[in-house]
Amino acid sequence: MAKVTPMMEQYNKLKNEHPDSILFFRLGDFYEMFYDDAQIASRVLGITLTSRSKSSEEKVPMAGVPYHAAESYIAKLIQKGHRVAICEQVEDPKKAKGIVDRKVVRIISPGTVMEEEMLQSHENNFFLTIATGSEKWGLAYTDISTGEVSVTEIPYENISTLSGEIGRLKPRELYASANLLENRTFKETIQNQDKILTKPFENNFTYPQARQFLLQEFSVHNLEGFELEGREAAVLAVAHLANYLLESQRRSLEFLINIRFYHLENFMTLDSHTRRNLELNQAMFNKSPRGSLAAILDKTKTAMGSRLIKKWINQPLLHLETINARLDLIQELLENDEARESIAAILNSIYDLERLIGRVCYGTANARDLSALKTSLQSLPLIEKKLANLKGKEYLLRKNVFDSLQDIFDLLNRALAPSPPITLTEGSIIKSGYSPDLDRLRNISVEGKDWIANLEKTEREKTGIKSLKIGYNKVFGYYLEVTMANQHLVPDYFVRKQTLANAERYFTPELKEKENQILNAEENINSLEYELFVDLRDKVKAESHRINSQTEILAELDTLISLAEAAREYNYCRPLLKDNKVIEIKGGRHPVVETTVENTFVPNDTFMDSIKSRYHIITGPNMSGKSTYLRQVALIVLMAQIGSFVPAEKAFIGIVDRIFTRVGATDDLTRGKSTFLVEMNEVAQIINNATPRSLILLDEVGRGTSTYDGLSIAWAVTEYINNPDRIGARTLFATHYHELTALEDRPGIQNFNVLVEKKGEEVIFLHIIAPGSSDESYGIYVAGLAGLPPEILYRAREILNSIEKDNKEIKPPPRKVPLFPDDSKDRAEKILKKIKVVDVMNISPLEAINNLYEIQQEIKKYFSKDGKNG
Amino acid sequence: MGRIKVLSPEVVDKIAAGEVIERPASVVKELVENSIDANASTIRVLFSEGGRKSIKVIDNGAGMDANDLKLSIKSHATSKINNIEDLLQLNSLGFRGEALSSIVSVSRTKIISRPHELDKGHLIFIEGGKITDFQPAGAPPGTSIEVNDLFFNTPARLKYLKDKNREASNIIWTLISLALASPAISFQAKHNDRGVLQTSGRGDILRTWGEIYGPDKCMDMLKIPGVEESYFTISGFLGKPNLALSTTRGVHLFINNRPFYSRPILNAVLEGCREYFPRGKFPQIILFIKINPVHVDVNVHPAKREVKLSEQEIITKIITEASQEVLQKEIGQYKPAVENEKNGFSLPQLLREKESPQQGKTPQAEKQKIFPEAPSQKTDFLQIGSSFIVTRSSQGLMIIDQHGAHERLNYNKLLSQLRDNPRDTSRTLLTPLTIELSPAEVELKEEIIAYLKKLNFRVENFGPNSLLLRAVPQCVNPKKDPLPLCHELLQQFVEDFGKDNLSQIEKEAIITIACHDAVKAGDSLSPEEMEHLLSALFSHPENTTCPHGRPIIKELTLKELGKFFGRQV
Ligand SMILES: Nc1ncnc2c1ncn2[C@@H]1O[C@H](COP(=O)(O)OP(=O)(O)OP(=O)(O)O)[C@@H](O)[C@H]1O
Ligand SMILES: [Mg+2]
Ligand SMILES: [Zn+2]
Repeated sequence: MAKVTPMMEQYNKLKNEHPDSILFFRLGDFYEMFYDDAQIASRVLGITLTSRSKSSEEKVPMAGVPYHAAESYIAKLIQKGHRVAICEQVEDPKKAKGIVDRKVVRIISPGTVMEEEMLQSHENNFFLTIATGSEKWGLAYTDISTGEVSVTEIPYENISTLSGEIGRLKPRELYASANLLENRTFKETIQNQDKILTKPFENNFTYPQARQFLLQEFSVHNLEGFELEGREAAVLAVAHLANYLLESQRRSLEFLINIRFYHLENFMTLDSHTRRNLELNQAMFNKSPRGSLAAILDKTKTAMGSRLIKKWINQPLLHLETINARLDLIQELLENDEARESIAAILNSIYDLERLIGRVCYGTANARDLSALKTSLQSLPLIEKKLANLKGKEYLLRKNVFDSLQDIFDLLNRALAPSPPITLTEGSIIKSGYSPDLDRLRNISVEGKDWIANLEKTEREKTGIKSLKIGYNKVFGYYLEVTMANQHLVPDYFVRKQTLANAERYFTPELKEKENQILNAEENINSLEYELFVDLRDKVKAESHRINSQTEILAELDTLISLAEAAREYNYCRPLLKDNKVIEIKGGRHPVVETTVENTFVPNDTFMDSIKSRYHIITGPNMSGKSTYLRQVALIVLMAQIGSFVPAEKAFIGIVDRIFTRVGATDDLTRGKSTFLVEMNEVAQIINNATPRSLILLDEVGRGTSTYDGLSIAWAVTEYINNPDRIGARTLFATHYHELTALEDRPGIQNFNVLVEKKGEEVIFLHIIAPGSSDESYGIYVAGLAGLPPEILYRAREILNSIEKDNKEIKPPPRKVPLFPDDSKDRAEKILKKIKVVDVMNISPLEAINNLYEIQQEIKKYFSKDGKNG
Repeated sequence: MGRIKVLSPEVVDKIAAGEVIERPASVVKELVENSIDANASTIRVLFSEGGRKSIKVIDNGAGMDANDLKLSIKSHATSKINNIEDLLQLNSLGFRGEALSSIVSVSRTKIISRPHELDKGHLIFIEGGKITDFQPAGAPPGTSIEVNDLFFNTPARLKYLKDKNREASNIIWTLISLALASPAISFQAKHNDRGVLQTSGRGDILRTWGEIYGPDKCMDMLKIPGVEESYFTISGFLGKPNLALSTTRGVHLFINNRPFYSRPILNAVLEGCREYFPRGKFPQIILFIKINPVHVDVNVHPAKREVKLSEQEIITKIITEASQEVLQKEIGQYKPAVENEKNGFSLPQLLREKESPQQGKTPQAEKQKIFPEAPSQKTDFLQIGSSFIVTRSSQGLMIIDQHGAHERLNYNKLLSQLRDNPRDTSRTLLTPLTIELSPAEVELKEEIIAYLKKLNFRVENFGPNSLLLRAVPQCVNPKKDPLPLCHELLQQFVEDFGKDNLSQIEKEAIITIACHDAVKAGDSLSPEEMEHLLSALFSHPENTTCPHGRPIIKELTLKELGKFFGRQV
């Protein structure tokens, strides 16, 4: 083993403390990386890999970036999903004995980015922690750029809710117990997400420890203020989150400004499939935000509005009053053009207050940031005035009164120079008149210069040299210049400084002294300005809660105006929401598709209720618009529950607690699972979680297996979901199994089909959903459209004809008497569960017999009660 | 269904013949009128390249079945009239059965239509008048017509088209009048995918106007009290003079909800507004005339642009009176109108003439009379509010904005100095002054030194963040501290730096200097100072606005005073 230099020893020690980060090791003007880090960096950043070697035996790969340009390199590494640990020299190299002391000052990771340049202004950047309590998961997440922390709890049996939340948040980073991260089902859940960097918990908190830790870190006496008291899983989650941030940010947690517990019961549950299938945030085929519902509805003017509207879209509401309150305001804003347009114009001049305040609290805000804050605050009185005339202001101000924050504006206005520089150490940040000390220093500098400017006159008079001139140059500083012709008049207190071709330059002791005074004053000015600025920032920080509560109002106002504007632009109508199970839509449209086909979208009506028309079986050719129709209904429901107007002429929506979707799953193939298995997983998930208040979209179930298997499964699933004693949820089922249309005689099931017009060989899609079933699938026709050769099409038609002639109609078996009558489902489940939990490998024979006995007793009880088959 | 029929030759003979489609805007007009006739509640218009490339009009109106669709593009085929009598009782915008056939013969057109009561629609392609495709199609209820490559087969017409911006603007103006004519229809128009107009179709005319011109302007629109005569009614809104435009484009006239143009009616409106509007400025007005169709003949112009009214005199008279009354009520009391007699023109008009050269009808000789005569005798000056100077003029009374006047004089002086002898017009300061620079200014120090030199300042580098000011331009007031001026100039320079128009930056700098040295509103002046200022001002007739473009003189003539006090002078 080669001998290691002391510096490399220091490096190795630090690197060992941060094995999962790329260590940026400060060496003079560079950050150097070594070993694997260097290799990764050179690959990701395209910088050259060199090596550092004293002894030839061991070459240490090395790569470096200049410190002043480090930010963009760090951004790139973060972007690619790496963590970066910044290691600085923490003592002056000149004063260091031996090797300079170095410390990791901050760990930057994808989920803990503060820097504006590395963030998307219209999206949140979440860091998520999942803790496992005794019965529940605790979820805590933060966007540290805004300093907001949200927490909730999810019971273990609701794994789909957990995955739904992960899908909603799209965290960049996940911090959770090693156990959880290793769990197979959980792994699958997060594999569905793009690029989540995970990290196992570094320490173990018990509940009391976690609680104690939080009390201490947030200096509170109890956790009631955060609504966390008594919530074990939530407390654990927040504690882990806080602990991680403490470790990685290496500063006090004051920058976390708001901890809030939220109740998932208040929101419609959406799993990640549904979010993806409905294209809420991005288009399915290219993952781009264009073509998503968010892109259609987001007409916000501020970054916080843009983030909020996305949050709303991903968290539709369940409470009628809240939905109606939003709708009322949107309607008012829609009708009041003047208010809507003028408020939007004002909002346009407001910066990203959330992140500005985030930086203020984090301590990285510069003078431009405060200046942006000042400009934004200046608009608040205008908004206040406009709000005063709105009827809906009460709702908007339900949590916080409007506070135009003019005291903060005045403070900033008094203190900040008009267009301050970014750097905090070169002065010109603070207005004169704000600090007497600063004014005095500035005076010294100014008066000093005036004195020098005056010196020309006084020295001319004293020496009689008319052409004597005062001047300045970068190298020699201030001087008095006398032409050669006048050299004989130069007095002896002039000291020569520089000789030119036709003149000599001098200084006097007095001049020198003044010059020094000026230089000193300027240095002092800079450091005083820095202090004043930091103090100003702290003053703003002390008011951050007030600013944040206004930011919330502004973001909501922006979002509501955006929805009103969308309603105006796309001709939406106000939905009427009810606490029942009816969905009635007249002239419904798909909000995204209608914008891409230049208004030739064919609107459709929908009627569903819980009794006669619960389960729609929709048949029709491929490409005829079934899937669009399915999504359109779900989107209209979802938009209505966001509190938005909807693309329809009329809409009555009975509140839906969950929307489920089961749509073709091609992208899962890459994960090595069969389409069929994926499909069945999804169906199982729907069946286990749907309630009578849910809305289910099934777009072809049972496709991935043989026709008969598929049909049989589809049949059984239909029976089960439609059965009010099982689920009885409103369902739209698009299928190619025409045989299923025979189910129409069951109460609740209705057939629909997409109308087509045949013109000779050609088929024309009319895109109209009408009652009744369609007789043909036109699969062969569509195959032709797709470019299959005529020979194949011809042969296919031949085969089809012969099959149809033989009339191999699939006769579904009549429904059998169920194994267990409906009312005793629970009991049966109990028995099954009992069998299921038996650990056959480890059970003693006696135990086994006992178990069997108990089970038999249960069954006997059941059958005797039933009175037959005894 | 077969609602469309081909008109009989007798009827066809009665219809004004001629060119229907002259430009893209005519296509838009015809198509949108059809949509309105089809009872649409929303109409979308999408066009590109000023409508030369494509125009698409989509409505949710009644729609056409297969038969109607095929008939609709025939000449003289219409569902709107049957016989000559119908022509006298028109309730629709269309009646000739000519529009579609004219359009499809000079373009490549695709029409898709579906009647509300049917599930099935049809589409038809026509190229230069020939049907190239016809088949069933899935479609929303209503009609969408896409007109591509207008005049592709008539190069002569194509040549006459204006550039795409002009054509686009024509289309937009056409749409504006149509949208105003039908406030209950929601219009949405996009040019090259950019929204150019949208109305909500809530049926409120003023709101619709606000959606087009800006909702904040609605409060300046005055309601014209409805006039009801035996066979016609007049209603609408008239904008206050502060909304005035310099063309008559803001005048929207409708007869039975049909936008129309009529010189006599336009004149009647202008006549009613004349006393309240400066010359060369025209009112914004929406005026609806409802009249028994028997009294209107729309069948006089092939493009139906003009109409003939019987009893025109009565109508014009009423319109004039109604507009006068509205304005009088609102502003009549305190803003008396200026009588527009041949010689009695007043100073403000002169100003406006300069702004809008198209109005330059004033004889030169008269124009020159204004200044040399004012002020007349040995004059008294009265300063009010430490801001304005009141004095006698040959015509009556004159009010001068002291800051503007002084600023103008300084500006003239500076300009001539820079022009006549660019060098050597600086005044050296007794003791040089130091200018402290902001960090942004430090960055541009070299450029700043050169720039100030051009403006006849002399500055030198004087320390890392200061300059030494040794001389200022001659015209800079020696009694005033030049430093604030310098700071303002530097700030302006830094802000504008990088903009290529250097001469503009310099011009602004000169204005800044002029402004800086001028007396401010609030400075009180001695009679001598006032006299000095005004005599300098009146020595140049063009001194009527300050360099920022604001007026500096307001005259009240004896005539105006007389009119106000109801007294012959
Ligand atoms: N958007 C539309 N919706 C429904 N029907 C339409 C539409 N556009 C045209 N039509 C039918 O086509 C016919 C022909 O239209 P066209 O514009 O050529 O004639 P017109 O409107 O009757 O008379 P004019 O030549 O004066 O406009 C109309 O009479 C109407 O029946
Ligand atoms: Mg027509
Ligand atoms: Zn001025």
